[in-house]
Amino acid sequence: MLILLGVTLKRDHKQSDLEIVNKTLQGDTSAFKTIIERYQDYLYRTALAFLGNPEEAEDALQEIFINVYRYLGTFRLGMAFRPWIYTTALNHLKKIYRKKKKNLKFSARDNEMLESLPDNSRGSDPQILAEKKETEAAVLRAVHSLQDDLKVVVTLYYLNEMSTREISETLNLSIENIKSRLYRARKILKKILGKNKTRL
Amino acid sequence: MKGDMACKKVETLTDLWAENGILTKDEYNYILAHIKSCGGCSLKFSHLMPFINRDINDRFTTGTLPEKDILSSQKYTDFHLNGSPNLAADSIMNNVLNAQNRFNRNKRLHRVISAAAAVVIIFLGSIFLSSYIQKSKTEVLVKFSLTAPEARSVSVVGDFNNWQPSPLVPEGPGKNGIWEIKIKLKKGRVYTYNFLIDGKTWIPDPASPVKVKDDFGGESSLIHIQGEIFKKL
Repeated sequence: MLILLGVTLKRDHKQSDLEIVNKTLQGDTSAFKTIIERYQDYLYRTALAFLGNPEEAEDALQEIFINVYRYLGTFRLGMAFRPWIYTTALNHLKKIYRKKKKNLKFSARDNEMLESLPDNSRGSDPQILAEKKETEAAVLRAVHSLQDDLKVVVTLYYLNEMSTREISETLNLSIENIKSRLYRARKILKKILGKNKTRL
Repeated sequence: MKGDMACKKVETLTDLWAENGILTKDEYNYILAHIKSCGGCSLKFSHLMPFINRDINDRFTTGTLPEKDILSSQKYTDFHLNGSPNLAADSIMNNVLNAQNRFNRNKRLHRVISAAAAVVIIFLGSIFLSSYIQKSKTEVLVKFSLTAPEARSVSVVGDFNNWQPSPLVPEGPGKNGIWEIKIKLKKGRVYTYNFLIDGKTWIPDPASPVKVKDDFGGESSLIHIQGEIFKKL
């Protein structure tokens, strides 16, 4: 059960995650805001891919940061932070996801809600913006429709730009296993996203 | 190149991507340029572009979290995902701090309730779980141990150390996978705790028969430090 890979990734941030975590642990709670700023978009997208509903994703994002802050004391300095924060996030999302799945399959409404992505590009050309939002919604819908074992890997790799090594550390899976899932997922994504021929 | 040839080339390139998960910048740019001028291919491939964009072979160094400013200055922004929640970081931060204050208050309350409710059943737990090494009038030295041969680190976290991890050390010179720590605890108290493996996996003590649900869907173990109350039983 406890197969854990000992990989510490070297990062080259202006202020590394580890420095910020260290500051927070030493009592500078405001430092944690940098962690929020750094990860909120990525984790939101992850939550949205899993839950398919922006309101639930926002709630989940908030709860994830509450958990991360609460358990920050359990993070071992010297380890890589990103796999740790994603493990915390995924554990929380899986919990919500399981409950949701138990209740009923995703409704059509949830899928529609994927379209209602927030607009963070004020001032852009409305048409380009609309296309961008449409692409993003299509991408999230596609990821959301994947089977669970592919969805988690695709979310981390493509939506969060994690490396296969980091994903391996986060999910306690071999790199080969992750590569094989990504391979299968790419084939499926190409198939389902290539079917978007309905509009002209 | 004629239109249909270009379409075929784009089809081949996206097939290559699906097969190998990698394309060069030039190949990506080729697809991008083509779908801007070809309606059919645009419908077919534009939603695939964020995925392919991720797989441009030298777009960023693996293992590095891409900073937003770097992303926005990238040449390949056309198909970057930019969805961002309506929540401001300040508002999240405030909620985090409020939740933490509530959590701390609840933990204190929880400890009192646990002590009252578990006072009878916990006695057994304390026998199974830990051995008392040394006794004083008010404190005992309790050994926490866990068998986890593949763990890189094991800590115990509980209300006795304010949920800050105390690391266990491997037992003895051999690699038998047993980790242990001795901690002074007060007599007569009931404590809630978990083991924490490699800084991320929380488990209750497998040796403890008494567990309670925590706030996060997991379980914590309870230990009662034998005190005066049990001497009377």
